[in-house]
Amino acid sequence: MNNLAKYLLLIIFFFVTANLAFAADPGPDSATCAVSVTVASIIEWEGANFAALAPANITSQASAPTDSETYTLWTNCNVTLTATNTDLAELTHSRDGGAMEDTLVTKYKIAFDGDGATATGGTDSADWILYSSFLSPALEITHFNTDGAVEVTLYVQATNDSDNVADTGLYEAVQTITATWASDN
Amino acid sequence: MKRNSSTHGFGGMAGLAALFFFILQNISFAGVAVSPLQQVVDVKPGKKATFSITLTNNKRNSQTSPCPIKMEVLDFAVSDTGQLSFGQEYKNSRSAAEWIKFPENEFVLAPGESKEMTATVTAPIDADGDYWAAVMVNLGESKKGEKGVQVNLRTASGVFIRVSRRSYTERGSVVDTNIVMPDFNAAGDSSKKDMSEQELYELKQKQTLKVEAKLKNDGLIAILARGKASVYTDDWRRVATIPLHASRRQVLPGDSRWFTGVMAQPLPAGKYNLRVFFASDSTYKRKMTKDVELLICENLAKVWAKNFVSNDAPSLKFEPQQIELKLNPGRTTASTFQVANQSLSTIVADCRIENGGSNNNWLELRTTDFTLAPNGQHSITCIAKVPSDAKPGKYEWNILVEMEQSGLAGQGRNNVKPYKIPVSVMIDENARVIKNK
Repeated sequence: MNNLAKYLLLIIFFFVTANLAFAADPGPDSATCAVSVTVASIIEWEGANFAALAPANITSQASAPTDSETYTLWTNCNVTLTATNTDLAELTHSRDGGAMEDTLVTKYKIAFDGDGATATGGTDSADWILYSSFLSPALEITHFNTDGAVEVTLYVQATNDSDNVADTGLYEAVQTITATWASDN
Repeated sequence: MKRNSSTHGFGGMAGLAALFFFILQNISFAGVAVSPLQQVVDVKPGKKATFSITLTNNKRNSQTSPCPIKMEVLDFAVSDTGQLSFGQEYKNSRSAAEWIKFPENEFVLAPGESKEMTATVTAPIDADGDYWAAVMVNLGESKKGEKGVQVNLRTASGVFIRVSRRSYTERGSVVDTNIVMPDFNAAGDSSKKDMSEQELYELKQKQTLKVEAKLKNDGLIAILARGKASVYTDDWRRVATIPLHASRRQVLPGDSRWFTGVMAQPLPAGKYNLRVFFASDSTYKRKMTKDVELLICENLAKVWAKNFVSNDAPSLKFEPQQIELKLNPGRTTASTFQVANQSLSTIVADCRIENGGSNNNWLELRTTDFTLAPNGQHSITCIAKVPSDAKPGKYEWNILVEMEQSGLAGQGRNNVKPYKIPVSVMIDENARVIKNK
């Protein structure tokens, strides 16, 4: 490329960029933006720092102390609840490094502030249920439109065997309540 | 739900005593929202993909406390009745638990904090079809040595992974069937005057014909099954149809699932052929049918007909019965209505949008078909998308729900009954288009 051609190109470049730089201000412009939000399926547990259920002391063979705790389950879809049905959920007293164990008859029940028909909720336990059968089969919580929360109350009852008195000491158990997706989420 | 401000009721306790109790107990609220509850992830063999789960510690009041979280990727199994079980003991050949990795598994969410946890899925080069695992979100910390029952709360989010190598054919087979005849042995009890509504309902349920069919998935991908049983005479004239229902109709590869159909309407005495068949939305599928014999003896037919009370009340109840929306142009919203099956029989329904005079395709249904057990309920979500250039006025549609109920049916004719849910979108003269300057 000779020098003349280079100068010509430079002049063309100058005029083009100058036009762009000094072009009239196009002024304010508006753009339409559709705003939409999709609410995904949500489950939220909320409780009083998940305190333990601590029935009162057993003081006689016939004692049947109970305790309960209420949690809020926020949800916008159907949910199923299951519980631990293994020995972990049975009140157990261990000593001598676990070599000696005694257990209390441990029963649970659950209640909701809604029945699933007119408010989000499920069917309350009709009676006390032994830990090994509690929430088995899983309990269905039905979501009711515009009601995004249900209060879930968990109860525990500790008793001696009918023909026995349990050893003295501290009895512990761990109950895990699992909320899972239902098929129509 | 009327929300309680505290988890304990104090009745008429004096304020000072309550305050003292609060101080001693140091009550603070903790909790975490998990979303979504299930998701599908597509990944190529030998490649990586990502998915996210959002965890939020909503700050609802000044008592909200930080919440420790532990996330675990667990195997899960679905029983033949649709029950979920989680843990390592449910590891199977189609487990994806080891493919999923989160950057961190244990952390504390401060009040008001939200965290989107992105996981990486790495599919082995030889993976083929559907795999699954669950992300278990455990709340709080273990507190050893506390008297009583320590309560752990957790939420499971299902992750369904498809490793596509080709087009898949759904392969299912009906491996078992069971027919439960109506039971009128307890019929005498119905004369009891003090029978509760629930007792009466349970008695009526016993007086129905139940058809149970077990579908097994022999393929590599999940089947979203729809089942039906048809009753034919000896010479194969169809006399009744019975939709089948399962609480979880997605049957994973290798799994089996019981589907149940219930029919309250009496069949005349005779020898019948009962054909169970399953369908799905898939283009590629194999025929999934099974034939069994059904015999209704004279005595049963007589008692069944005598005890059956025809009910003219609508089988389906909708809440709300119509949807009225007032929207601005450019707006997208979702509206949900509930369908309840008030009959003693199973039903299947197909839903679609019917343009009520306008040709606007602004509405979309999230699910277009469902089955319901007697007394069952289902939520249908309708999404309305109003274009930004929509003119003011009232726009109308109908959601058409075509419901087929168990019962006697003629040849080539089903027990289909249409229901209509009117939907209207009102755009006000003064409605403004949402603009971004």
